Amino acid sequence: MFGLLRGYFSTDLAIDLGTANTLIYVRGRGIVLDEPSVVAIRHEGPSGKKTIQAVGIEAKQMLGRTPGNIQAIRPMKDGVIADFNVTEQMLKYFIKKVHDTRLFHPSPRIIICVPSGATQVERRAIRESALGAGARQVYLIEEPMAAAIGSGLPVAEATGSMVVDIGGGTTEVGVTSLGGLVYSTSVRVGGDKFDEAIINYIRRNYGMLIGETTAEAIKKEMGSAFPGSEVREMEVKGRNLAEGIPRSFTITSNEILEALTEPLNTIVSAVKSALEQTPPELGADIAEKGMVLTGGGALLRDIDRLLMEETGLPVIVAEEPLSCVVRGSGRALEEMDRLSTVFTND
Amino acid sequence: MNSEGLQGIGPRLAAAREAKGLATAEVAAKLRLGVRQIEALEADAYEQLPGEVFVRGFIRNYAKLLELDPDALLPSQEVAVSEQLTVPSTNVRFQPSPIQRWLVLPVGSAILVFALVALLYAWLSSGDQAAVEQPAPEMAAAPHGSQIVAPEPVILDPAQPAPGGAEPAAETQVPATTAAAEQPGAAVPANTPSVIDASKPVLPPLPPVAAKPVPEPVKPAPPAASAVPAPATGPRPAAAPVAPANPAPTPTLTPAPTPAASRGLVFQPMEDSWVQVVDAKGQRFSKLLRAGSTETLEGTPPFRLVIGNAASMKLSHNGKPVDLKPFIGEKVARLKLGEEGASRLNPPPLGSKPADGAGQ
Repeated sequence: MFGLLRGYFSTDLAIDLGTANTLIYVRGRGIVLDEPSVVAIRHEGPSGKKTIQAVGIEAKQMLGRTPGNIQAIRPMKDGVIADFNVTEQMLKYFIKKVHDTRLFHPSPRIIICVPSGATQVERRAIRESALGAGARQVYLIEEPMAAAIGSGLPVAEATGSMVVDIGGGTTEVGVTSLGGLVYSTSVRVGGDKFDEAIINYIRRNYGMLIGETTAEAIKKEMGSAFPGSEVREMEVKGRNLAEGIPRSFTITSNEILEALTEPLNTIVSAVKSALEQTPPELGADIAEKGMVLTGGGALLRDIDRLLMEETGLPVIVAEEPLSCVVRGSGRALEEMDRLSTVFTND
Repeated sequence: MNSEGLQGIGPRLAAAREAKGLATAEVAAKLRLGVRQIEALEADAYEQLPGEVFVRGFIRNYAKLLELDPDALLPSQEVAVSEQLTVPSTNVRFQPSPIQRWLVLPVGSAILVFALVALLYAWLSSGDQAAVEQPAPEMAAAPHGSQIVAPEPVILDPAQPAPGGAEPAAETQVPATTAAAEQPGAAVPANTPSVIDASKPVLPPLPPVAAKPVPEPVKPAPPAASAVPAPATGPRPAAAPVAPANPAPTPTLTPAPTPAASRGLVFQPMEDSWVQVVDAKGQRFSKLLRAGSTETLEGTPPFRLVIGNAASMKLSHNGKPVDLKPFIGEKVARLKLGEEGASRLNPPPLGSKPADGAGQ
């Protein structure tokens, strides 16, 4: 009874709980929140009590810059929950943030995305954390499906469409037809792995240690997946491992391309194996229309060129690739009451 | 597809391509598209292309190749999401009944339990049937044949045969006497359509004897018993009420001329064993007899006996010890015990061998 009342004052949400960013779509209002999935936790005094210092953008600015009593945590890793309690707190914070009412604790119905490769335990963890954050009911939707809906692919038609969603933690490849996923695969390579590869490359070749935030900035500034005509340069600051003193040095886009080769190859082989596994009739549709790239990774320069060269198929970058998944989930949310095929059961 | 906003882009792309001196085939190869698709793009013939998302993507890629600004070229647009998420369908529901999921388990298990109980009952009553199927023609001829099946757990106490026994006796005598008057062998099967074939072999040997059933029961002597076949017992129930039974375990009663006095079955198990007895009227008795106990039963012969752990069982009928050995299968003895002797039950439907007489 009370839950019903609270449900009346709560709006249904679709959440893209990503490794890098969390986006929330509110039914009837669109995307209302887009913040990094980072939580800063403060440990208070001798009692060891923990409080949330900051969530989202503020917390992200603290990453790698915190004093001893504050811990900036990214609770999601590889597309799934790495720290259950912190994820729950973060979700609770975000859900509260998108609800205006102060009278009741919000108790919304929530659609939440899971990587198609997530295990049952990981799915259960995501579901439980959403329930713990106050959700009345939780529906799970697989990320490739959400990405396909959100990028405008004709998912319901009897034609094969392929979507490649390169997120922060995972890359999802899915082939949809007739409102369902025909094939989907997930590799745990994404934006984070790109950053990691850049950090490792610079440490190996320059003997310099840079932080994740710097690595991400380098990737955004001049990361590319395919050798382009122009070579860019960038000045980077980091700590010299031998001297132990911060130094600055210059790095070129070709070097970054070299650094990214390994994670990019993993993505390419995931796409190729998906094409191999796709039934021939749908493969023909995909050859005609090409595949669609979504997610933050699609913004990596020339990644469409790379996939085009490697597969010989047309490749399209979706418009506003960062929000495709949450838009797709939001679309599913709008039609939740008459829709069941796009949700997963476990 | 909403392609109105895209009108006019194709010719601009074509012009830019020609300015760069590229052929359609070259562009197609670079974009991994078909020449047909490039031509359709340049002719604004978007209906020949897959869909709006793809058309916009193709134009974007093409513009990038020609070093044009795709955002300036393409009309800005609400970001598309799929218009339709599920396959359009008619309202035919696969499962019309909205069974509550939580109901499935309790209801399902209730049905299962019920089915098991029904199965058990069917099995038990079929066991009864098997026991009753063979009873001699006189039983089948009686209109009360159907009552036999009724699972009356009444123990064959001495009082019971009296009222019950009188009735069938009166009726069963009729076939017996008619049988005596005419050809009994033919008459009996005609009266008993429900009797299974297995019982028929019993009949043929009877005709000559059937004529004189009455003196029959009086003779307890073994040779007489073996000579008298089943149908001859027809009149006997009539005699049963006359002598209101002697339930005591009286092995000494054997020579008693009145059959009523010595109608008892006495079980003396050496070890625990299970016993089932069905008498001619279909009354049933089954019990686990404890070692060392003595159980005495009265009823209308012939009896059908199933005795578990038969090797350790001492049985006497009308005071005469019955040798169970020939009837023991795997520990269990099945036999039919009449006035005239014991014969094998079920497995060979009717061994037709009367086996050893009770008196041996």
